[in-house]
Amino acid sequence: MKSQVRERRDEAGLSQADLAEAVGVTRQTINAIERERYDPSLELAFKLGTYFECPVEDLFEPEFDPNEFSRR
Amino acid sequence: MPTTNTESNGHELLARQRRYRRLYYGSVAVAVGGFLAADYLGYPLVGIAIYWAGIVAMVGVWKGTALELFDEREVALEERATRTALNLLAFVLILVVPALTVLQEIGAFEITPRMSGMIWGLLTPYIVFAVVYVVYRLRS
Repeated sequence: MKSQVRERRDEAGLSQADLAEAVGVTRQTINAIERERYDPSLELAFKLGTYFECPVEDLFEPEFDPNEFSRR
Repeated sequence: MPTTNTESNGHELLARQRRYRRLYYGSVAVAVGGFLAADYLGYPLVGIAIYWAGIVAMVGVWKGTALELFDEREVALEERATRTALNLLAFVLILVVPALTVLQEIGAFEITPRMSGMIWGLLTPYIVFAVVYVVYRLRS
């Protein structure tokens, strides 16, 4: 899954440790998410969205084409 | 964006988490290392006492703190490692056990009681897994 967490964190002037502590995970987990080596759980994705005050879709982009699963 | 109190406390939470994890792993190391050392020196009962003391300390650290020692990524890694280990062992069981049985039946090899015990030792985790899986499936 493509991640915009690093961009958001840089914009906010936060370190990985700052963000990790704010959402209750380890710094390594934030690093893995930013490097797109770990897809966070829904709960963590929503925590990050809440923290950055943006929808989850702005932080994470799926690998598949969303239009393929659209009802319209 | 909400401000965090983390910037003022210098990541105290992460530091505490690291400290408790070191204590957790240290307790396990003392338990296992102490047992092996005492057993090697000819004091197995002392080894058992050290082992249990270490395990009690580990459980104390694990359950005695409100901090989450392992986050979701670590749990996911553990689950992945468990699945890979079980798959590797399954591969051994699927190939080796029938082959040994065939060899025994044609008289080319004898499965000793020790080997039989090892095979059952390998099979037991799968039996436990099957029971736990059925319980989870019934509950889901």
